[in-house]
Amino acid sequence: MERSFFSQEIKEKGAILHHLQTDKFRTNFLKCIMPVQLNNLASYNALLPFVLFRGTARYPKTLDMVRRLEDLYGTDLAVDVRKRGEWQLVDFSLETVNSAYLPPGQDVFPEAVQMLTQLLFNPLVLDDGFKKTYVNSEKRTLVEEIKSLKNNKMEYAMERCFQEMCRGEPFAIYRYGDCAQLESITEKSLYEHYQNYFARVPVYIFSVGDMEFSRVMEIIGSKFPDRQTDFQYVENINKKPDQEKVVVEEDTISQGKLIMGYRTGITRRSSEFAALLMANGLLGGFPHARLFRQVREERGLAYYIFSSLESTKGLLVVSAGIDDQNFHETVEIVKGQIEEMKQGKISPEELGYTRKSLISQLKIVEDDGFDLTSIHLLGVLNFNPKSTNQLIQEINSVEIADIVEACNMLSEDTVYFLQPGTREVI
Amino acid sequence: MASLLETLRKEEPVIKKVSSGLTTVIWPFPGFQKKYGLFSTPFGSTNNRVKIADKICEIPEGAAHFLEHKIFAEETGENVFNKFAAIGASCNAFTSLHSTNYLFSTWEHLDVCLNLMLDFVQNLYLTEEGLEKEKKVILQEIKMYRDHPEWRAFFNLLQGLYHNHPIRNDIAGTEESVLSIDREIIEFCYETFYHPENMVFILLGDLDPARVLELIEDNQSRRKFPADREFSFLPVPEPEHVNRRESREYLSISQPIVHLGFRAVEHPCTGLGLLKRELIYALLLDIILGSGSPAFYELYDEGLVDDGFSTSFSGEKSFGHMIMGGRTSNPEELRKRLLKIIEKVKDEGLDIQDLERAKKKLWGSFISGLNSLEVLAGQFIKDCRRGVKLSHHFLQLEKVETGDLMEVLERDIVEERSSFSIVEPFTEDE
Repeated sequence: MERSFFSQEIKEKGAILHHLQTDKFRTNFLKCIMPVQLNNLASYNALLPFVLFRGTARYPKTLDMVRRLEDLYGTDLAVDVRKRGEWQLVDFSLETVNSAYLPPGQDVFPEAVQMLTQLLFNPLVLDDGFKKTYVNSEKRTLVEEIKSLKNNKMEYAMERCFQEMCRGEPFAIYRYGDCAQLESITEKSLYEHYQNYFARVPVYIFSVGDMEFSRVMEIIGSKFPDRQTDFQYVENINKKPDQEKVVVEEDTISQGKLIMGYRTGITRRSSEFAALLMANGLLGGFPHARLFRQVREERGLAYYIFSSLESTKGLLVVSAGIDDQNFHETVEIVKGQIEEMKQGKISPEELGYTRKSLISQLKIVEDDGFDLTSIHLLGVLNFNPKSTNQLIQEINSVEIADIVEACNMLSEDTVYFLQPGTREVI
Repeated sequence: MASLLETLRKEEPVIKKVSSGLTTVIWPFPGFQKKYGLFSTPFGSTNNRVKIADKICEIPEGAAHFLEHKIFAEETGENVFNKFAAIGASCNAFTSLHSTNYLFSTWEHLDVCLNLMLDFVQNLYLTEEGLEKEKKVILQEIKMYRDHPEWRAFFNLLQGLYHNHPIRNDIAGTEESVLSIDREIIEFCYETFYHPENMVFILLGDLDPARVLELIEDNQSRRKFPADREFSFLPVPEPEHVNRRESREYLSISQPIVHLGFRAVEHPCTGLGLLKRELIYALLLDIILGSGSPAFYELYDEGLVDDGFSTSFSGEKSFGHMIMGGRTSNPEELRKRLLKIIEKVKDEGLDIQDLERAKKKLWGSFISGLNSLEVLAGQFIKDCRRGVKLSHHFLQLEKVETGDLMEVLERDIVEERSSFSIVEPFTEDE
């Protein structure tokens, strides 16, 4: 049975609800996404959800709110900030246990939504500002969070590659903003930003669970305040690199981290997207793919190597952990494989494997509530939401010529290598 | 809560031993697209002392993991991943402390996947060249973890807590132990631990148990297996006191990462006892230091912990320990404060309301885990080893009382039983 999201705008609430009804999960999922333009206010937007989480007018103490959520059978309410394309996504996620698994008569969903709504629209305010101790505490935590990116060498290398690649573009901004700006934020300036800007951002609600659409609408309608919103249109920037950049940095690590960044010029909005999915799959999306085969299985150069897409910005990145002395060999293998694909040297077997594996991956997304919401969100952000079956149909009709065309749109932008050495990154 | 129990009981899987001796578990989940299979042997990184017919064999560190890598090699030179990909399925494997596990997930070809998996795991093909190449890959895997600060803090802590217990060894082994592994060792492990009599094959998804059983029986009846080799894993003698009180390592990181661990006093328990012990620790740690505890927010607002701070308990028959930790601005201060918080709870006792809330929370996260076939499969492998059923989780949770929590708090969570592991940034001027 085809399941898909059903959507409706709730204009007076400044919200759009996307709901998928299914009885296969034992919990209900609800995500509120506030998409904002990545710009010089990124640190403000990043700090906000963490400060909002600390207290509402109803629950001024974080501990009281958290305890109430725990009482609601461990209702999981989490906030975070992500980056997709030139968007910064402020994310409030909720997971509640289905009534079938609770003592008779218990239903925790409405109160959980109420608490989420309070958090968004009815924060704790003292003297025209947020509570100072909360703001300071969250500032410190977020500054440390930004600094700790270097603890995860794979992610650090990826982010550094993006920064070098997209210098001057919004995408180069880190999802949590930067430490200097964070330090400058006060409880008053943050509240001002909240009132003048954040409170006017539309909320995209994605929900999955064993409930009728009308019931979710009713709960949202009764909990959300009426409000005016301003819709922003964010232009995606797709620059063609003049020539390939190579950036090598040193860190006191055991294994080198290689990232190769390509511009694709193709996003989820493009008609070539299915072909790009196939190209990425063939190159490095699976253990049967070329990179894993050539680099790990044939030559034993790496334990991990893969390629992935940033489908809102239009990037393809290759990531591998390798020894210093194998840098050139690995880079040449990756380039050689892409070159072969550009020339259409693609076997019917690998084509079949990749097509089937991609379709399977898409089908399996339907088994995870939050994955379902995340994929649908990407479609919505790219003004091109598609059901699983639509996308599968497109993948089924991709031919070698389409993949060759997609591969020929790839332009080498930046090769980044974090090299084992004696100097530490900052 | 009776109806709830009924709901859970309805969800228990079908379990049957097929003719080869393989234990087969089939767990229907209507409405799921994915069909997930996990083929598991109770031979993991900690099982490195085994007794066979009065002979004691020492297995090198990392052998279980090495064997896991080599299972994927095929005599025809064909790639196992390709065979699964040909039908749009995927497969993978992982080695844990107590088991080695092979898994697949498929959307439409369960029958083919079943046979593929049984065929590739129940065949071992080794060449000298293949072994040497795999060593290179595994050394890269070891290197990757060497740069992983949480992983380092964790294993340094285990080495601090235990003198000899193999839990202190890295799952992949060391560079030296991996290089020392040869064909003979791999073959020995394979022949001993991969006999169907020792293994469990669990399948979950929207499937028909009778049909799946028939497919597995069909596959297994076509094969011949040598006689099962009797073996038992031997415990390694472990002194009661911790090995060392502190471990320190320097890495290129932003802020210290610390783990404070406590070793549980050894006392014999099996099956349900292990489950109950696990629940008691989970509840206790959540009440004392979870996100709903006053202590957590105190430490948080002083910058001593962040929201990555966590607590955990891990225990089987031969070991048990709890760990608390995360990133911190001040390792020494955090250590002192954690010990103080624990002492305070010992003095003041526990509130029944806190226990009730912690139970509700644990229940919620248990139910949420039931959404994931992967989580369930892993849970089952563990439960199966212990002879525990799904409904037992609920029944045991109900039974826990504040007295149980106080008992372990006073017995196990004491400074003398602790070890502290710190991974620190290099000093500024280095």
